[in-house]
Amino acid sequence: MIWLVLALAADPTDAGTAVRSHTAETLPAGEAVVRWPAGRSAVGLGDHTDAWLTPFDLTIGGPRVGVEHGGRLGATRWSLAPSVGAKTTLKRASLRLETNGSWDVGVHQLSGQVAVDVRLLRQLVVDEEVSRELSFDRVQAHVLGIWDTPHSRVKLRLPLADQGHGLTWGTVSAAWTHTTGRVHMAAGLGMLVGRPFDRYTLGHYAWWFWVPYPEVDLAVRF
Amino acid sequence: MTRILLCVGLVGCATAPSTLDLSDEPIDVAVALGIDHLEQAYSFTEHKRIDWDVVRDELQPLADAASTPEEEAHVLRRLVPYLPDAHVQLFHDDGDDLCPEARHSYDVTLTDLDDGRVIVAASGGPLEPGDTIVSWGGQPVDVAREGAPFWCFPLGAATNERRAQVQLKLLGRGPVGSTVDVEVLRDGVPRTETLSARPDTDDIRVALGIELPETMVDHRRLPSGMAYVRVGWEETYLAETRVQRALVGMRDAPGLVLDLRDNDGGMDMPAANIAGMFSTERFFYETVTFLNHRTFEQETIAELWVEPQEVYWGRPTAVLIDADTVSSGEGLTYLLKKMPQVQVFGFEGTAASFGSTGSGIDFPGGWHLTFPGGRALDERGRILLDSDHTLEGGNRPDQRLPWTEELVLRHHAGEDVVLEAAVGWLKEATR
Repeated sequence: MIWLVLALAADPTDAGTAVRSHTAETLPAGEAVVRWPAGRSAVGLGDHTDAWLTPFDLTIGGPRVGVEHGGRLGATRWSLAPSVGAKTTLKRASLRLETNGSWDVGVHQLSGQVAVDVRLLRQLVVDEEVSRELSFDRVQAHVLGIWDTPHSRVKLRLPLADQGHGLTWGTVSAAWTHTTGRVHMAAGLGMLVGRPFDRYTLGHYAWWFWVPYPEVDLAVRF
Repeated sequence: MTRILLCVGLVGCATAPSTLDLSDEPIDVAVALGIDHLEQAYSFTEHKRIDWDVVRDELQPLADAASTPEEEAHVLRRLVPYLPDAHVQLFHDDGDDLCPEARHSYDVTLTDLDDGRVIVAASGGPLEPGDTIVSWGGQPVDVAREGAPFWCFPLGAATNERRAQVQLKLLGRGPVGSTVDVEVLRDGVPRTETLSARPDTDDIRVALGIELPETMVDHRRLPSGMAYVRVGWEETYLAETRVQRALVGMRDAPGLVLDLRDNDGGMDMPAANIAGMFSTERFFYETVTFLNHRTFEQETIAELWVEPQEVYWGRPTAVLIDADTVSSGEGLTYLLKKMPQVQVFGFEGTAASFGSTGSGIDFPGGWHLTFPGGRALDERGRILLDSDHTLEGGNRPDQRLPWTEELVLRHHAGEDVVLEAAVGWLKEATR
């Protein structure tokens, strides 16, 4: 279980609410996607905008909601996805902005994403007077590249910055994918390599990790 | 009494605690190989200037001559004093057993005073609290204590302070059926009493006063209105959660007593996170190194920082320590001493044993020795908290209570004089 938690925590962004995740593709108005187990479910608000919900975002320890707004320029699609997440205790909050681009090259699709996650700590300060103060806690920035074919997906994710550290770890995964009219499935294997840096999964322990993890994605479109 | 490293899965776990199994070897071979292994794997050979050739010269003849389980046990017990480190522990599968030299009790508790005297702190026999020991078994008490069977203590003693305490604990015990003549001064009048050793307990921890806390974290409101939180150990993240809840629940208290006496240690990250509840700044804690069992080099495996937590306690805080505050409990004390709102109280310093433990040797006859294979380093790369060859180290109290006759007798009569001093300071600080 710790492997899965670790991997999911290391793979925090999941933009793209259409059938395939992580792509710059929004849902048409009135359509919805329910996604399992850890992705985001969404509903289309307009032809270029949808709203989404991740029930439990592991990096913040609570739910995350956001919107995604996109557009198309020829074979290129783009989207922006601002979101806000909060720990279930409401002591930590996260503001995230994901920028996505996808390019179709024949049956292949290349996608790229840059995500910046700023976390805030709401502290109960027991000092001369008891007060609650909001303080800056942490910034994470990631870049993600994806290569999709009709029946496969390869992902590579690298952290640009995390608590002052950059490029200290990465994840790479490969999955078989299958999409019918309403259902999208993906099953594969990922590997986390390096020295991840997180408060609650590992502390700051600095072993060089080679951690395999399963990648499972099931989406149903309505 | 551990400071645990979390070695997770498919990683370079050559740099992690390991146990050498010598349980099927004859005792002479096991002792020879065990000493060789300790020479390579124990973290502080140079820091404590341990001469392993001296250890071999002392123990190998005993091991070669050992032919009974009791003699084999004696050889292994004699190994422990060469490792002045509270993370070193010798224990048996069947439970810790008392060595023959300290099987029974003279029913007396002895203690040093700052004025150089050794007095009776508590007694169930003919001696009375406050009696000054003049001689023990016909020898001056300072000579007699040096002859106490130090090897009967199953833990390493890392400081001079601790070593002196252990000597007096063992002086108060003897073999089955033994007697000892003790000359004391009572109200300035010399008198001699004969003490008889009697059975008291088979539990070595009870017999030798090796206290273990009963709960991980508990808290209460003191009659003075101050908050009181006791942390017994921090082996899981539950410790920080419970401390946080306690601080939130008592947030109207003007001051806090954080009791780390007898703290048995645990994981470093919960300790760092508890310290983060007293800081508004992120700051460096330690670099953790551990032995690589392939290269026998110390390798860095972690760099730990203290980060501000969801609760910040900035009000005056008194931290209580004693010689049983060990391992990550010492790390927590070390971090808290950096905070301006904190003062540390105690009769004595902490155990000076902060190296990462978990390494071990399985010896024949069901005996096991644990020892640290890792070190903690400060930001300059110096060994943090562990005592050196002078047996000095650990954390000292900011406000040390003196070992006076009055305080010692009150302490042993059950009064918590350290807590009383801490609350007195808090009242002044919060006035």
